[in-house]
Amino acid sequence: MMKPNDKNIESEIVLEFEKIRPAITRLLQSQTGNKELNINLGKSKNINTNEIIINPSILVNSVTTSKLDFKELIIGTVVHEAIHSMQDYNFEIDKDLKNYVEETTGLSNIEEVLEVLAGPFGKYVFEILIHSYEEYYFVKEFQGLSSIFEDVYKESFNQIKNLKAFNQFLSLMFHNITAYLQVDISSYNKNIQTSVIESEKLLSKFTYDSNNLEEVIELTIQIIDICRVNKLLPDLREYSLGEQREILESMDDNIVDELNKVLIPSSTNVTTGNTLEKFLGEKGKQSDDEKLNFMDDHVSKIGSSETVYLPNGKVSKLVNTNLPHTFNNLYTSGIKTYNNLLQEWNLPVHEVTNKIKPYFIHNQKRQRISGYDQGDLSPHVPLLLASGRYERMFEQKQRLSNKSYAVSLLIDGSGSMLEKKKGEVYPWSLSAALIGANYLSQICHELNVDFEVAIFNRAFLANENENEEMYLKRKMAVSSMLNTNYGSNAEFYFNTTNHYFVKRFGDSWKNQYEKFIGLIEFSRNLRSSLDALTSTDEHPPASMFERGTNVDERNIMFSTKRLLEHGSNTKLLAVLSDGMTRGTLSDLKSSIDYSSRFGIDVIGIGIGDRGTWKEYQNRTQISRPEELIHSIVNITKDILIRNVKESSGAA
Amino acid sequence: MAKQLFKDPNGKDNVSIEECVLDKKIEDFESRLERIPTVDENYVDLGTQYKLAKIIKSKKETFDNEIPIHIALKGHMGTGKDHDIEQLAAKLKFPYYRIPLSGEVRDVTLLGSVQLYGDGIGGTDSKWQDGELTRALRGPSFVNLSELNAAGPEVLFALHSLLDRHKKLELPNGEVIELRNDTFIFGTMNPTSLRDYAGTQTLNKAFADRWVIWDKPFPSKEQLEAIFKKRYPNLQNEFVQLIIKLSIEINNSFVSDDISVNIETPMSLRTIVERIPVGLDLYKNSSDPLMETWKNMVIPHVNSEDIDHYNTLWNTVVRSGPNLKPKL
Repeated sequence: MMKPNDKNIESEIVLEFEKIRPAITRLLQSQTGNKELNINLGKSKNINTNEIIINPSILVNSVTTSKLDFKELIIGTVVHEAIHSMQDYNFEIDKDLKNYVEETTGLSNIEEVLEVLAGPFGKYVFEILIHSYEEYYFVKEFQGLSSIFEDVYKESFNQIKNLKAFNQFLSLMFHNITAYLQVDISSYNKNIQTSVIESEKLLSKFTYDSNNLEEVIELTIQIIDICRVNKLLPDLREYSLGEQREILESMDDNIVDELNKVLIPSSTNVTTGNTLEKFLGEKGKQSDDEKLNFMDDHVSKIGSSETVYLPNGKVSKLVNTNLPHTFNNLYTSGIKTYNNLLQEWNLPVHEVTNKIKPYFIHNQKRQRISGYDQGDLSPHVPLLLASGRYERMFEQKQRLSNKSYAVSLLIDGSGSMLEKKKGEVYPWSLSAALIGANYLSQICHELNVDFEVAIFNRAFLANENENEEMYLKRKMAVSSMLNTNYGSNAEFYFNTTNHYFVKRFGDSWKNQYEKFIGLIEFSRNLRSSLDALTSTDEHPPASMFERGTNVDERNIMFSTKRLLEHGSNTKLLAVLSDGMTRGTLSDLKSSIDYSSRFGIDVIGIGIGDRGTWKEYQNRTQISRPEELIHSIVNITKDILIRNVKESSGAA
Repeated sequence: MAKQLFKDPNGKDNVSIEECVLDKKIEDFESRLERIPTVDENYVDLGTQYKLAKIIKSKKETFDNEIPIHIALKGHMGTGKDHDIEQLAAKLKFPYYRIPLSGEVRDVTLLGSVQLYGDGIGGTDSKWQDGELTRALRGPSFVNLSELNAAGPEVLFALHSLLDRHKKLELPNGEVIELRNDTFIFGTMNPTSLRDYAGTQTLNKAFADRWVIWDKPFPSKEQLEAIFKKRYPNLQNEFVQLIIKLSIEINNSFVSDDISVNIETPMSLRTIVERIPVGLDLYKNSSDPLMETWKNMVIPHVNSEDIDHYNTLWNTVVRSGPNLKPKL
């Protein structure tokens, strides 16, 4: 969340900004020859070309991540933001591209042009070139500014080595052009060195002209080739379509995240996810309002979400929603996959269901229920009258009902659950967990036991009604807007702790079953399952699992709360996951202990061999999907038997 | 008669004009001789002096002094308007009369009045005493009426007939003085805008019509480089470039019409080419002589409301000065 003192920083920034504004405005006016130019602080986008709006979050981000002098940082950041916000490029494919007419016929904007001519990563090279030259030509006129920038970039320079190879290259190319720092590339990997040296040769012959973008595009194509040859970029032809898409998406996120750390963030370019914004013109500006709305919706959803209190007093937010119903679209292929998996893993569902049913039935507890409309008059009426407990005058033994059970199944929806193990053709962790959950759900369903099933993870939240395209669009929009508006605090808002219900206690299992099976289909066949659908509109938001982690204890506490609110006597919480929590093991243990203390049987069903699950009193672990049902039957049976013993012992 | 050559600093042309030779027989020879300014060896003509020389030549030679033409230089403080006229006089060896037309100046001060004197035998005698302008007009001279737009109306009207085709100044005692062909009248004025030039006003239209008004802007980068090269040829370029950049940026702010971004304190030529070099010499042993100079020789002259602006531009343009011992 936002750091407590950030509000103060913001007001200091506003004060300082007002002091420097006249001088910087005038400086920009004379540099650009535009006397109407004006700079202001604000969060909305500039409405006319003469107005440069500086987002205070960019300044907050800058001063909170740097140890340099406050005033100088504000000057540097304001000028930096202004430099990169001043120019909107008027790029017209027909007029500005002379050498690529054939290849670019029918394309509508520069993004498509770069994609076609330089591949999916061309836009990043192109934008770094523009960013670097814009900055270089402005700053070289001002020694003071140049020395401020030198100090700022020096601070983050060491981080370049921690970046992915392509990002290291982009950062070095920026430094090569801007020349704030003397960069020694000898300590970088050989392929990065070679790429930088080869690009330097091209750059030394290149003269930047913002009116001749075709030359920048040509340079981009050549540099992208250098990166490919030197293996800084993956050769996408080696991958399937689905895999290509995954690689691209993860690299897109990664480039934005990493460049944001080593370059001064600017709200109009790649560092905040707004790649090519200055080139996409009006279209880009219109979409900003939409992006802003996406961000506002996202942030307000977090604000109105559940607050989870861990036993040690820690507080966090958790968003609960339903699993997107677009997973329904995978039902037809999913049911086949499901049956194939049962066969492949030798899982005889119905037989084992019969083995465990009796234990559930025996484990039902009877209690006396009372009330004016319940049963016969009690023999203790005088006593009860005297004590004023009139409602107890009528009572009877509770009717035997399976509603005295409540079962909650939590399934780990982190990205690792979808990873293939070494040497395997298909991933199986999530499929196994879902089938295990399905097995338990099936028993509950048949026995008319109240149960709920949820997938949990920590990632960017998917909405119930959206498809993959919408999800990705929203994800990129929220990412860029959060970076722009919240600066270094963006990460606190972007990923949320999510609890996706497949079925809530009150829902009908039958109605939710299709999307559950659809999820099994995706968990096994990943992107290929989506590619089999006729229209991309039908694609469920499969990226919701991408790079997802989990903080198990938060979701356990949320389920615990729901179980405790449920009017049942016997409560069971099963967590199916493949490993460690992103939180702390002590928090996980205290959450499990808390649930147990309130009479909930918590079972940890470990999938794979990454974790130990020792925090779970009742645990089982499978290293092969074939062991799944056997383990689940055994542990559930053990718990039920123990409960029967305890209740009969007490009686 | 010796001639002086004026070269066009922005081109290849030149113009030559005869020097003034004072007739020793004239009554106020000594007084006029004293008024010939000395040539400033460090003066650099940025173009204004050349233009003034050309107009003198044109007036004398092409139009045979038939057309009354008087040049007024308009520019902010510290742009060197008066210095241009003074150095033109110096080069051409003309007596130079700088007469400020501030609001306090009355027509009698300019033109003269009858004053009473003791006659030495117990009585008094009344005598006409020339005013400053009258005195100047009685012989060859360069008259610089500075602060034209601060002059009161009575002064303006007194000057009208001198400046137009009549070329005559009528004195209160009835005497009429004709403008000599070897007397040149110039004027200087500050621009009337939102700037704080106390006492100035928009020039009376009839009065303005009697002048050709030329703008004298703050010197450009190249002009300042030329000045530094001439005055401080040994000063390292690292210093020169930063000083020039600072002054250009600050004066750009000063002349800006946009009241939300302009300032009230310009960096005058005096600050740029005199105070700063003195400061550099004063703090030459400091690790950052330019910063010390800035703090001690520039900032104390700046209006308090302009300090943030000055400091922001300092940080943007210089931040830390060269760690060199300035050579002056």
